[in-house]
Amino acid sequence: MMKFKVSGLVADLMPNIRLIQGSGHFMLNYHADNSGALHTLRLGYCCVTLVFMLLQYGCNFVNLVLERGDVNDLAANTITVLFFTHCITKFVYFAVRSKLFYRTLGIWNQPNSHPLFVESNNRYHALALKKMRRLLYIIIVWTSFSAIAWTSITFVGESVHTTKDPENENLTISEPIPRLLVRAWYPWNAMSGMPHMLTLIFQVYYVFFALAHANLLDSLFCSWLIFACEQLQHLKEIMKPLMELSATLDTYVPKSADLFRAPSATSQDNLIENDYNSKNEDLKGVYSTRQELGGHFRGAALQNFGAGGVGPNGLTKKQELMVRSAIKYWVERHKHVVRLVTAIGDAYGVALLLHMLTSTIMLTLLAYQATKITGVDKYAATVIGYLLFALAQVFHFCIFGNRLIEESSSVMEAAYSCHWYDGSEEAKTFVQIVCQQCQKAMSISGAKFFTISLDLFASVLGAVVTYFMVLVQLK
Amino acid sequence: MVLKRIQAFDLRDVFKTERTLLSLSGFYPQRHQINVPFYFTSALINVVVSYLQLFSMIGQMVVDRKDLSKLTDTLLFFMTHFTFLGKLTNFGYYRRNLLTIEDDLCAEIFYSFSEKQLGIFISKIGSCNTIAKIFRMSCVLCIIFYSVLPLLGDEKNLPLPGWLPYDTDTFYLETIIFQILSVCVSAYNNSSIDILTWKLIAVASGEMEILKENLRDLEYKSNGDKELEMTKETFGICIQQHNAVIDLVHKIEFVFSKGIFMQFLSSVIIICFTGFQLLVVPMASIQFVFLVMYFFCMMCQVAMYCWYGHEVMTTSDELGKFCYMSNWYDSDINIRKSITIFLEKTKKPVVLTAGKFVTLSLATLTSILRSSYSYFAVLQHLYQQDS
Repeated sequence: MMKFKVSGLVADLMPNIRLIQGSGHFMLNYHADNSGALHTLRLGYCCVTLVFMLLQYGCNFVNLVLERGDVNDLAANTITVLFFTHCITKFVYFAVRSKLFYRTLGIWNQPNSHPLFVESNNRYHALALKKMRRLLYIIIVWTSFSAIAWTSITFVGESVHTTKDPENENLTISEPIPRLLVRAWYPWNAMSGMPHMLTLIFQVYYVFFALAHANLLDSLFCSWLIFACEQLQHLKEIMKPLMELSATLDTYVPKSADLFRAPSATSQDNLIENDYNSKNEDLKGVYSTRQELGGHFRGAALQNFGAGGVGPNGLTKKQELMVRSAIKYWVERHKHVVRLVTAIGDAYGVALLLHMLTSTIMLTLLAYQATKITGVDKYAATVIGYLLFALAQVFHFCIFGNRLIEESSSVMEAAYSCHWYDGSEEAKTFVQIVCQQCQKAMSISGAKFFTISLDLFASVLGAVVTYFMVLVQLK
Repeated sequence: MVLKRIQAFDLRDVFKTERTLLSLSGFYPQRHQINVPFYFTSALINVVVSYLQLFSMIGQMVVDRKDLSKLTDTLLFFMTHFTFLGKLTNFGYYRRNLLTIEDDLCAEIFYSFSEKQLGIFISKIGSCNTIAKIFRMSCVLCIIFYSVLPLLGDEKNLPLPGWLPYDTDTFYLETIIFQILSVCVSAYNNSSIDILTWKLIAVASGEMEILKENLRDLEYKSNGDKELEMTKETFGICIQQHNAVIDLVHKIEFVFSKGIFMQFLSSVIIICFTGFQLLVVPMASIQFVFLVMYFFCMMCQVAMYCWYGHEVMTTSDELGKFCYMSNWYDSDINIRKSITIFLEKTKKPVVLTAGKFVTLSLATLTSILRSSYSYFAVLQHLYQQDS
């Protein structure tokens, strides 16, 4: 059996991976001991989680169908069902496309390295690690807080719903329903006593795990983006020393002091005739080279190369090769980052599309529900809670998607701001091709339909506010 | 790297079926002047039948202009028929260019792929074939349902709405045969032209995929002048391939663009009206099933144009990225400057447009569906006001 060794992204994201495995996602790799019995056990755990999630979701849905008579209840139940739809979608999506996730996690297993840039590489790697951990803590705190808030708000206020009075069709009465986190239909009576306790505990488990499923996957996606961004920062930082190094690598470098020395009488180096302009009828009296450029003009000063294995400025062949290898390191690292970002997009793009579809419908309904808020009570708290949670989820991945776009398009600025004009021809063509490639920013798209950026978040927020304003006016 | 030439695969075979079908109906241009009277008669029959049907439907619409639901029923088939005649006219007008395209596809530059790449290309064309089969099958099903419809009713209903200058009851059988014939002609030619366009576009995007792979696998490291010359030559071949594919796409656009534009315009209306009819017609009837199949066919038509156009656009967009993924940093200065110029060209993706007005992409599909839905909402509102 192969010895299990963690490296690359898997090692960096081990806490994330362990949490994801713990919450019941179908992530069955990355265990030290993957023998038959343990593997079956883990698979069984995942399947049991899936069954529980689907059962509870089914109960929610049945409740939606049963309570569709009352418009308010219909809206509220639809919002709940949509909320948990997107948690189930993420769970099933991961189970179905886990190979793509494994591939993305495995892409950074063998990064290249160069002795000149090891320090910078390690520094940015540590920075990325720190940010990924911080994000994970924030997500854990946020998920736990949401689950606790949801549980506590269940015990506030009355646990009733309004139905038609069986005696008088026009009146409505309040009927008590079980005090549970999520309104659902159960084949047993969960009003009080032991069934109520057990159902409550099951629902707490369900809510916590559903939130964890969705948020942990999103944080995995964002951690990948953090890593890619820090790699781009590293590449931007080493551009300047690379340029300075390659300025020493060339076949023709005029000594700048020579260019501005006063010409000597014995100099053979004037390539432009002193009296060229006076000979030329059109330019006579208009332009005089010597006058324009001053007494220091010397024309193209050619350099005499020393013979032997030492090139200009005293670089040996070995040093030349080192500079060439530095350029190779830069380009290969950049290509690796491009591959990583493409793999991230392939793995998670469709999930983001589905998320946005569900969120759009849910936020529209929430805007409608928000118009019915009459005061600071349980209803207001739940509506605002849903709203904030949904918007926070969208904001979570939009902000990191936006950062990736910014970082990847700023590589060109970094290439331009280094001393490229001092560089060799080879270095300048290298900068040219890099600039061309980085003009088009790397971005994650939701299955080619939209780009993940803060623009997306702004348009979602704007749409919600517009619907809310319009619906308030219509009341 | 040596680019091999594959003799065993002829690009023109991709659309062999459509070429045969359209030759049978007399519309595909023939190189050699044999069997001219046969093709001419066939084309004449097709055109006469279609135009007669068109005029009868115009007559029906004039008669029915006050009743909204009957009008939409006729308008639905009228728009399809009108679009078909437009596409057919466009095809007939530009058909000589198809021979030029065929000749271009024989050029050696299109055959610079390895065995593995040929496999990828064939699978791509294979998926196009599958879609073509599904589309044809649903067209045939539509025609069958459509012919069966009037026979199940008690009254002597005609399959297609149309005004005819004689009493339809006396010549019932002849009229039915005529209308079924016209529908067959329309579906046969329409689907063949559509599938031919899709296949040509698929060939272009397949060639671009091959070009991408060639660019990425190009070995730039050269030790000595001879290897340098070879690398330069290989890169030159890639550039030639790029130019040839762009040329091919432009030629395809030149031939089919106006027809596609008409298709898009009328698809908006057709999808809207079919949706409306689905509302009006009772659910548990053969007519409902027929309308669902018809809706599927119409959606498939416009969606496939947008899909293949989108594929060409995205594939050509990625050319720059794939060129970057090679080991270009090992290359000589001369080649690097050529690479720069090539990258400048790849910044602009190759797009197919419909009449130079709208590009074929998934974004266009979304906007077509959105406009369809808004017209549908208006129509529904009017219908409710009427009744």
